[in-house]
Order: sequence, then C-alpha cells, then structure tokens
Amino acid sequence: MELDIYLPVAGNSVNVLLLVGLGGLVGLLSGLFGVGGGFLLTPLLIMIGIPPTVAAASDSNQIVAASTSGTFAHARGGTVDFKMGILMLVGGLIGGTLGVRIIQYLRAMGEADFVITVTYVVMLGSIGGYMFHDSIRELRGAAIEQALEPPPRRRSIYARLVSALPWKIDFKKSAIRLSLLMPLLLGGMVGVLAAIMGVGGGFIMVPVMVYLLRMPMHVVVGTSLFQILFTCANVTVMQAWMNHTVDFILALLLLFGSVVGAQIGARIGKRLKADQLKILMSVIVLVVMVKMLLGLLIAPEIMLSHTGGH
Amino acid sequence: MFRRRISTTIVLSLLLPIAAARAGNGPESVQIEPENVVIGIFYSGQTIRVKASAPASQGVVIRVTGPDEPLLLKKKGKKYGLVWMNVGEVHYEAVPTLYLLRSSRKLDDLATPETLSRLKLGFDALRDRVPADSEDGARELFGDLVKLKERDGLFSSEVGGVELDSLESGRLGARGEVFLPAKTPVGEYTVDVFRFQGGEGLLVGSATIHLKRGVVVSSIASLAENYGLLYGCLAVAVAVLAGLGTGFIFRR
Repeated sequence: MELDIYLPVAGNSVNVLLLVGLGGLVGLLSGLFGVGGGFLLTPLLIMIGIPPTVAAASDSNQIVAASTSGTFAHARGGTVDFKMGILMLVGGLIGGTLGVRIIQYLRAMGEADFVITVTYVVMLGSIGGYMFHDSIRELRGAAIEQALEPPPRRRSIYARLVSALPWKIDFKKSAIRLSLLMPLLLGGMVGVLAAIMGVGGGFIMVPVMVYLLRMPMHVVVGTSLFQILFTCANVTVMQAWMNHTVDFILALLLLFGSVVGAQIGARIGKRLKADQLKILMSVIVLVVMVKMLLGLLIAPEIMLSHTGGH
Repeated sequence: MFRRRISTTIVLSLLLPIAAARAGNGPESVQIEPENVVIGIFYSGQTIRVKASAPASQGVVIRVTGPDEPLLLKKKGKKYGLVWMNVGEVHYEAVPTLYLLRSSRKLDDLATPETLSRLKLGFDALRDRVPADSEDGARELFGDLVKLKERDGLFSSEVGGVELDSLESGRLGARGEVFLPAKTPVGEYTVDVFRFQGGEGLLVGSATIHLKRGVVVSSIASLAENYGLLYGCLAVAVAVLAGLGTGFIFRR
C-alpha cells in the first residue's frame, strides 16, 4: 500500500514511511554527535520535492523534538554542561543577529551566494580534515604521551590569550576552569557563521567545544544538543511567524522518526570511545563537503533553479 | 448609472455559467472525470480522464493549462571560470502554472509551427511568447525552464497520449488521461481539446477542473498563513512534548 500524505504548507505529497525513515536517520546522527543534522536533511527534503524554504524551516521544527529527546537522554547520564550551554547560547544569539546583518550587506553587494558557498566548503573541509587527522593521531596513541606530559615549553598564542582573560569560573561538568568570556565569544563566532551559512551550526559548534574549549567529547554532544534545542525553537517560531514556511505535518512525520533515533544515538554514543565518535563525525562532515564540492565543479543539468534554496 | 452597471454585471455573471454549460453539452462536447478535485490529507495527485467527440479528423490534441504566473528563477553559471553557482536571475512574465499536452500524433505532423504557436500548443509555442530581446537570456534558457517544470510533473507532453475511435455516427471519439501532480497549486485548470484537419486546428470544446483544498488541509494552511506566531509556538510545543515523551518512554 502506498502511504502518501499531503503536506498543507509545502503543497506537495510525500511517502509517510520515507519521512519517518529520514527522520530516524538524522535523529540517530543527532543523538550520536550532537548536531541538528539540518546540513544533511534539508538537501534530502528538497530532493524529494519540498520547496527549499519550507524544507529548512520544517527541519528546524523537527530538530526541536530530536534535540529535546537527545538532551533528555544526555542530561540523565549527566553529560550536559548547562552553565557552558547557556553562556554559549547568549553569545550565539548576539552572533546570529550580527551574521544576519553581514549577509544583508553581502546580498546588497551581490556576492552573497559565492561567499556562502565558499565559506561552507572551506569550513566543512577544514573542520572535517582537522578532526579526521586528530582522531587518527589519537587512535595511534600519539596524543596519549602528549597528554601525560603537558607541553609547557612553547605555549601557543591561543593558550596564552585564553589564560589572560579575566572572570574565570569553574565548569564542573566539563571539568575545566575558563573565563566566562570564552564561551560567549566562541558562541558568538559560531552564531555569525551559522547565520551566514543558513544552518544551525551544530557541526561547527561541536569541534569548537572539543578543540577551542577543550571540553570532553561526551559532554560536548549533550551540551551542543541543549543549545540546538533553543536555537531551533527560535528559528521555527520566527519562520512560522514571518515567512509562513513551517509545515507542521512534515515536521511531525520527521520527528516520529527522529525522537527515537536520537535516543538510540545517545545510547550508541555512550558505548563508543571519544576518538571513535570524532572520526565518524569527521567522515560525515568530509562526505558532505565532497558532495558540495562536486556540485560546484560538475556542470549542472538544468541551468535554472527555484529561488530560496542555498 | 452605477446601479445599472452592477445589475448588468449580476445578470451577466448569472448567464455565463448557463452559456458555458450549453457549449459543454453541445454535439462537439468535452467531458472530464472528475471535474472537482478535493485535496484531502492523503491526496497524492489525481488522474483526470478526458473524453471528447468530434467530426472525423486527422488528429486530436488535449491540453490542460493553469493560469499564467510571473516566475523569478536563479540562473547558474561559472563564477571566476571555476565553480558552478547562481550568477543571476531570470524573469519570466507569464508562465503557465500547469501545462500538460496529450496528442494522437506528433504535433509537427498535424500543423505548421505558426498554427501551433497561434493555438499555444507545444513548448515551442510557449517559448515564442517570451520576448527575444530580454537581457537576462530568458528565451535562450526556456528549454531549462521546461526541464525544471517537467521534473516537478507540472509540464509534460506525450505523443500517443490520445486514443481515437471511429464512432458509428461517422464521428471521432477521443480519449486521454492526464495526471495532476500533488504539487499542482489550487485553482482552476482549463482542459481544451483541439482537432486537426488539413493543417488547420479547431477547438472542439473546453472543460474546467476545479482543484480545491479539503477542510483539514485548508484549516492547517490557513492557520499557518493567518496565525503564524500561534502556529509556530504550537509547532514548537508539540515538538518539545514529543521529545520529552520519548525520553520518558526510553527511560529504563
């Protein structure tokens, strides 16, 4: 039996099982890596005939459910740093507003599309590449020696800068002591980038927390999900209010799959080692980057496209 | 004066449906099944059967069109000689929302390009309506617009999509099917049937498909459109509850 359902806002019909399945897959990634998965799901939804603006907005709605489910699972396991999350969230909101202004300015100059695409590919490539390289090194055990012997000889400029910042506080869940300016600034930076690229920013947030804030990987995933929950709730309400692009039926079917996927992802994540998680995440980021790069290099079949997509 | 104009309008609007019905029931009539299509929650497009009878002819063409709409699209090109991306916009003043064509034979075998263009039959005829001097290259890119619309199922052209039978009365019976994809926007769509004889095309008759939203679909769509803030908050609330609910269920 073909189980098709009509989506009132998207104005198209899709197969119910396909949507639940896609939701499940993205939810799994979400629970496992602490990303929203919009960078993966939005293009897939466009591929099955959902208008780009509706795909992005309804995806945010779905992520609210998946990240609630994921945060719940992680909070129970004690791997959500709420203090860090809230500070980064505040920074992210300020950064997001700034990013929207920057993109308006670029649009006016007519270079927005190029800047967005290049930023996207460069970010994905460098984050994915660095994580991949780093986790391979850790798997080989090279990093263990370094961890045992902290390298005090030549502290990087970054490390000196971080230790010079005032207002240091303890983040117990992450077991680190940092200036409260750090999460605010880095959250702001991710917010700017996410707004420019038109994505939630989970795949930038996770590496930032791992490498720049030096948080433990398992706490990173839970804390990232906690933030994504608020960012996506904000995006969903704004999109529904201003652009009327949230298709609730679409989101509902996706979240049926994703809430379950997120729980399973969080469970699998607990059994994996931090570097195994990192290497898997870096492979996914690199695959998305290669797909985007090919899209840029291969001549398109149709030289026209609908407005509203990336 | 003003009142008279209003009453004339009322009388005319009352008479119009009667006139239309007469034309539909005449000897050269066109019948469609179904005429009214309601978009329910399980809607996934609708096949429309078209039947017509006409004097003996060499070929028959069925055309289903929707109202024209202006269209703004992104044009892809090579930037800095390196990467393919959006490089500008292309504007079309009037593109039919839907354009489905079924013919018993190849259009070129039935009439000259001029006749086809005059009757707006075939993608070439549609392209002829785009001004040749548009700076954004709209006319040159029309083939790509057709491909884009074909991918959505909103444009299609099928040779052999009309079956012809000789009726006892010496007339010709024509049957064809078109599929309205789920993506078709709500509205009224015109079904026109043409017959061709000696290179000339004549309109056999027309019918109208009424595509409307059902109660549930229309309520959700109007809630999203008219009460966006409330709708957004509800959508978030349900998502949070679903997330928490699953958390509780999975709790060991």
